[in-house]
Amino acid sequence: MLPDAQRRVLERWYLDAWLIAATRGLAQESYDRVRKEIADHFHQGLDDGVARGLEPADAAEAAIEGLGPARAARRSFRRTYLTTTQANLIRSFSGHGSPDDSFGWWRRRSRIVLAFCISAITVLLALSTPSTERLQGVDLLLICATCLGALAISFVPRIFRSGRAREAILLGVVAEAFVWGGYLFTVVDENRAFATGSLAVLLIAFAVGVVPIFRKLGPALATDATDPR
Amino acid sequence: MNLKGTLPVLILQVLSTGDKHGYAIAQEIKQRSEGSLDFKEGSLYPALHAQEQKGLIQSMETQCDGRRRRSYRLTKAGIEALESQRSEWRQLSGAVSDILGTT
Repeated sequence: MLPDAQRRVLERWYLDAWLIAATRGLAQESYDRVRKEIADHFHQGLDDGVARGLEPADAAEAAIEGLGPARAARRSFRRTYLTTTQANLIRSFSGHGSPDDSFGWWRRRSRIVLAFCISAITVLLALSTPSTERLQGVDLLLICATCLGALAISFVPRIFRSGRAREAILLGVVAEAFVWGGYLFTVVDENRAFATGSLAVLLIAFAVGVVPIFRKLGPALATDATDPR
Repeated sequence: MNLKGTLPVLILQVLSTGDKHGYAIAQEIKQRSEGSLDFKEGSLYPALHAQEQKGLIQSMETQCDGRRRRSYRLTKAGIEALESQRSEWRQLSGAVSDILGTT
């Protein structure tokens, strides 16, 4: 067994650069777990190499070689673990965040506050139209859609807390589609094609962002990502 | 030899003999294949965690050689998945062997 001081130097020289390259862009929770396990793996490889008669530096090099190129590892890590952007999106839905963050309350509730603001603007816009007949038709439906969406978003953090992360994300996305859909169709009353197009773009952007998260959210990672830290 | 796509089933097979940590899993795959199945150990952990997300294995912190390590264990669902993947593999390798005329 190598002395701890020498072990730490070898870790800094050989492993740190590999880890920085391989884990770039991973969420802190994912990074912590990967780092711990890869470091344990490296130390075990180091011990085995020294036991086989290699010089410590050669054993460290062999252990890093065994891990393979950092770029290839980075690709597999990003396929399996949440990235910083994905973890932030989950946090904005789940209502969890860092307790040290002085803007934490606003950041954690930004989606709920935004949804209620948008629905309030939608109601005001619909009410301020010259013709009162409009309120009896489609606009009433749009107001209901945006208000129901905002209300549903406020329930998303509770669903997260009950451990159903996938359901919470799904409800969050659908509710946001209601809020933004109601708003867009009210604002661009004369140009429904533009509103439909904008809503479709929003939904596609959400799907592209959310589908990988959905795939990654197993029981273990879901808990890690939504844990308040 | 390229073992793309076969790593998950190899992990399940190695864990069917008992709880192991990542390094031990990697070494056992290499030893049991007598070095034919050489793979980059960095790709082992995403594969392990993907199996864990699917509920086929579970992990726990254990004390090993004076250090706290994360070990993995096959779950009941993992045992069933291994059984079904074994039989799929037998069918596939049998069919390929028939075509290649190696049986």
